[in-house]
Amino acid sequence: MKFKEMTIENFGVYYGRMTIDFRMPPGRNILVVDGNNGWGKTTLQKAIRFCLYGVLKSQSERLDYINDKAKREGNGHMMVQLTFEQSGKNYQVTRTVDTGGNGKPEEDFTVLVNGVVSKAPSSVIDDVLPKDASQFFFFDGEEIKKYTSLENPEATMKAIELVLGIPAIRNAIDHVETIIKSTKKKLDEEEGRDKNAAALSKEVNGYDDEVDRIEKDLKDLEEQKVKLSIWNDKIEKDLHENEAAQESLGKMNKNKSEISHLTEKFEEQTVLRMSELALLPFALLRGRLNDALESRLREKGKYQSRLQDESRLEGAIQFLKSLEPGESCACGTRIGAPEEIFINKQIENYTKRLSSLGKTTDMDLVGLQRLERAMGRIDAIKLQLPEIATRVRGIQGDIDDLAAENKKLEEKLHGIDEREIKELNKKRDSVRDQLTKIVGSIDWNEGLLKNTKVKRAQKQRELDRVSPKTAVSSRLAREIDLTKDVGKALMEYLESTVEDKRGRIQDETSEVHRMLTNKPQVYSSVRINDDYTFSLVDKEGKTVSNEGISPGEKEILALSFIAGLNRSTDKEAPIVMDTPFARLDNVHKTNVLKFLRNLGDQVVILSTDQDINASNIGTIEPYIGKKLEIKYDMKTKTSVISEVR
Amino acid sequence: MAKFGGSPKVYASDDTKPLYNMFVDELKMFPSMSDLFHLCAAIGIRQDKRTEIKEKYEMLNVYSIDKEDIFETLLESMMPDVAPEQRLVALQEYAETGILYLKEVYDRDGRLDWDYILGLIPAECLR
Repeated sequence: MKFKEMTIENFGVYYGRMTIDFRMPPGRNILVVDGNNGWGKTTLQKAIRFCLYGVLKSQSERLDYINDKAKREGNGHMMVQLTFEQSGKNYQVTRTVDTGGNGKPEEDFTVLVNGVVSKAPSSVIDDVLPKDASQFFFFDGEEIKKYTSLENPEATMKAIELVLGIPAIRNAIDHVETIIKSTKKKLDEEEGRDKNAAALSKEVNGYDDEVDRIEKDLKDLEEQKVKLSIWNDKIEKDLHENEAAQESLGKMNKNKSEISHLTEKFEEQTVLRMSELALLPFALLRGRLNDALESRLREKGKYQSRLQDESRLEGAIQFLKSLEPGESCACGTRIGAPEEIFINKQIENYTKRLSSLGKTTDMDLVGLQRLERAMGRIDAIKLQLPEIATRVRGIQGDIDDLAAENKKLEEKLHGIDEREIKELNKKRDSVRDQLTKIVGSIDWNEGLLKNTKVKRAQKQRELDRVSPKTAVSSRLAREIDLTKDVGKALMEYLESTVEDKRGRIQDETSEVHRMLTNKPQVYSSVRINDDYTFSLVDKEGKTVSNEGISPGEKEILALSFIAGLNRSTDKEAPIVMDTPFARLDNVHKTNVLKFLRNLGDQVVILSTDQDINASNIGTIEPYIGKKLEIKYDMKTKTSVISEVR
Repeated sequence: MAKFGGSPKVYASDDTKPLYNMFVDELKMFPSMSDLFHLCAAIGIRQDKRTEIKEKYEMLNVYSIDKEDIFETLLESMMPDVAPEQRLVALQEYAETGILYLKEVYDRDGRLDWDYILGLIPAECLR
């Protein structure tokens, strides 16, 4: 689908008739429509939707969209005409609203294909671009906002289903169920010739419904079981991969505890060392103190020996002096004159010796005692500092070795921490619990199913007895079985298609996101989870917490998703984006602008000067094929759109 | 008898006071200032070297050192004819030598070489 022209007449803020030419020179695919808020940018997008799908449903809404000035002038006519080409065919789609004479707005819708009026205009448009899928081509900030919470699974699932055309399949499934019900009714009528048979038939149908319900429950449970088993396997795999890490963590914890034990011992030794250090200086003095003491002791010996000599000489002198002439000495010799001469000579001799000893001064015995006491103290010091030093060195060495080993282990772990492994173990336990419960439910439902089928078969036999099958009833029963099979097949197709397509949309979204994000070095892909919530995945394959994603980043993610959906459809149509840059920072804005030219063959940007201006227009300038400007007349409250040349 | 003749304070030099603070308060290598002072004085006495203190910096109260009068007794025997106050001056100068020695060892090895000090301990004082 490629737009050629759109003519609008008295639509919204646009008064009178004006035409927008969407055609652009080759190689250029961006059309910029510039206008302030409230001047009619959104009205243009609304005009496209109105023309194709007639979105203005109520009479009052249609009246509201007829231009006020025109209404005041008595002109109750509005019109949007869109011409485009698709697969080599030219289309002209015209939708008008006329109030006519009675004031009631009447809508008219015409589609010309290659100049020929189509009899089923809505189907034609549906083939070109279904209304449901159009939201991924014509969108605005509000559309983007729907996905920015990242946790709106219903909106995401619905979007994916819309892209895949799933609503049609769901309608078909509903239709199949209606057919089954109506065929069953016919069968009942055929078989219900008497009340008894009718009651039995009703019971059989009741059991059929019960079987269907149980089978559905069982299917759901089996699906849950598969999902949980996959999850469990993944967790087991992660845990297995982390087995070495667990071992390392165990070793690290053991080392940490040993380090803590050794640190305590180290501290004990440090305290001991401190108390010994206080004694160390006195131990160092031992030699000097010992020398001093010995010297004083030698002094004391000399002093004592001199005292003895002094006393001996004094005693001898005193004795000699006591001897009188004529008396007898103790040895019996009578003291005569010669003896007296000898005694006097001896006294003289002894006195000389005594005086040669000099004057004896008292020795400082108190100082000596103090030295002896100090030495006694030092002798009592028994230091074990060398052993403590050896022990401290040994403990420190052990601590260093353990710390070095832990550092190596930590490097080996690559940031895996204990919390993560604990979390994995917790998840595994929870998944296993759920699996056990589900397996129990499956067993119980299987028993119930078997039982219900037995009861149904009994009732069927009873029914066959009282109301033998006719050719018609057999045919109807076969029809019911066949229709049920169709229903099951449709359901299986639906499920497998959604699963396949989700992968593709995820890939497309991731690719676009890589181009748009301002952190390409951090994020590697976008994941659409099993529950249809979004997650960002970083370069290491880890899921980034949604709390850590800024509003701007969420908007980029939502925009990537819309672009991913758009790329995943088999439809082609122009992209019409209405002020999509609301919360984006400059890097994101530039990335989006750079990406625009890749978004489609025709990209229409409805922007304010906040979105595109002199500072960033250079990014897309080479691809801009046309610039339009909306001008608003405050007086008439009408807008005019014209090309900027 | 008054300790060291009644001198109230023990001084270090302006240069070495910060070293006392570093070893005791920052590096926590010694239990207290007085313990480190004792060790430094013992080292100085062992080396029989006194270092004059020019700019005096008040460091300790005299009653917080040498509680068992071992240093005083030793100095008394080493310099019997010197006044007790002068013996305290000598003790401070021995300590000044000791602390400068420790600083030298610390700067050279990046730590205190305990082995040297432990090697000085007489066998009689070891358990």
